[in-house]
Amino acid sequence: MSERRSGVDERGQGHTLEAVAAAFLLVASVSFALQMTAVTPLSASTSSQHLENQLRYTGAGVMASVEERGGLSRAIRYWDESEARFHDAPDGGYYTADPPDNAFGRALNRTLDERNIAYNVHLVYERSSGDRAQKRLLYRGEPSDHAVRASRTMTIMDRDPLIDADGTENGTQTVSNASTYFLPDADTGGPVHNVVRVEVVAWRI
Amino acid sequence: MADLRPRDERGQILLIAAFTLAVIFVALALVINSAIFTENLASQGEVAGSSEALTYQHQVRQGVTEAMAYANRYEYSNPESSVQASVVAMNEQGSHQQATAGQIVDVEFGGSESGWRIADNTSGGSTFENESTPVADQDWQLAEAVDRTRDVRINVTDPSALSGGPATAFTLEANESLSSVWEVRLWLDGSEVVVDVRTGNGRNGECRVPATSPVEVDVTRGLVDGQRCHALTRSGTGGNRMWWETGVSAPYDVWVKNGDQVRGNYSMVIQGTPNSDGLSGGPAAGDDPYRTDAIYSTTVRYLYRTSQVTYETEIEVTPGEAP
Repeated sequence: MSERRSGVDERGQGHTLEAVAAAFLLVASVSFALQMTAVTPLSASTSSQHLENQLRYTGAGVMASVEERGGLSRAIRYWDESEARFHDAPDGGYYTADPPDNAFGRALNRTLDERNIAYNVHLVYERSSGDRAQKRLLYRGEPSDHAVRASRTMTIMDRDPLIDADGTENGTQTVSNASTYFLPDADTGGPVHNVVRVEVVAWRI
Repeated sequence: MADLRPRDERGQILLIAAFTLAVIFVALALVINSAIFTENLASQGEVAGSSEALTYQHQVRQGVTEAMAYANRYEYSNPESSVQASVVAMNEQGSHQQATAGQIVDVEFGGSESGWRIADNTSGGSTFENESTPVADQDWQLAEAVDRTRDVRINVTDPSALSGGPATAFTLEANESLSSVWEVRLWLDGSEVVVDVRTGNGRNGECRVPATSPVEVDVTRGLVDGQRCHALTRSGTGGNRMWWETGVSAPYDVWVKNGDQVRGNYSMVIQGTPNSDGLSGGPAAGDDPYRTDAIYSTTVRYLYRTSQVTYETEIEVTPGEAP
């Protein structure tokens, strides 16, 4: 009797273990399968590479078209000397809600804002000591994992004028003689003022 | 034992079924992932990073353009050394910037061709006459035996002064002979400025812009107020070339006609002989147009290297030269 009972007990345990193992396998398989399919346009994975490439080319295209008419350099020089910040920028010194009211800002607005794409714009330049520094031109928050970056390098010369709020060149103030302008002269004594890399970081929201 | 076997077999079937399912899922995952990977590779339409090399090349071109404009405008006593200094500074700073993106970039000054810059940048604008003669000369030759011309820009500060109809309109000419003339004429028609182009091989075209001041005509780039003007690039029908010196062969002479019919500024860079009577030898106060030494073109050697791409070329920069 005791042998038989113990045999029955062991069979029950075996079935329970089998059932648990099978359940575990099933759940693991299902969750694995779900993970495979849970690739949406918003998730950062190799499958959204197309979208990221598109976004990168869009960013590069915006800058290329603006640069063609000199708008990128003007956007860097769109500086309010008395307020020591970009024209109409909020207290932080950089734009947050609306892009600047110049050719670059309007092109960004038309291309990215209207397609629900968030973006930051940074200006990377060199200090006279040779260190690299970064200034925010427009900041909309921390980018997500699948953000892409497009960049373009602009040369600013010593006598390039600052740009007034209405988009015209200032007759007296240049990047060199304006006292509050953020961009230092990294080539003292030479004709070049600084070389600025404009970076657009864009991501889908 | 006999009554245990069916139960044992059921357990085995369950296990085998679960195992098979797992294998199927893994196989599916492999198939789907390889599809994704293929698509990923397919989305990269070029050798990795080769377009970056070309993009940065364009930016080097743009930088040298700025440097040449600066040298010609402000450091005309020794424009070549100014351009050279700019290229060195651009290379130094630009290569630091690109190094952070894993790219080695080297730009080296490779020489330049000299020319002349002819300009009248009287503030507020003035007529385009030759002021050196006792009575200001409205039809006069800016330069002769010109081989190449670039960056011809006219800034009309006061469009209402574009008096005179088509017959007596202000005209800028590239004149090879009496029969072979390329010309652009500007006049005011109501509230519009008409930019009218006649080429050496008999094609005509015009474009119109609102007469808001100032009207900027970038003749060699084919832009009026920053917008493309078809008359300066191609005719409306047929798409024939219309740009600067079309139908005229070098060397040609550059003339201003009816220079009293316009008020504004102008500048151009030429390879040829500027009119030494009409043009004073440096930026002068007052109305006089002037000529200065200038850089016509600059050559830089450009090297771009990443782990995957090595690209090396010579770039000749002639900003604003008609194609």
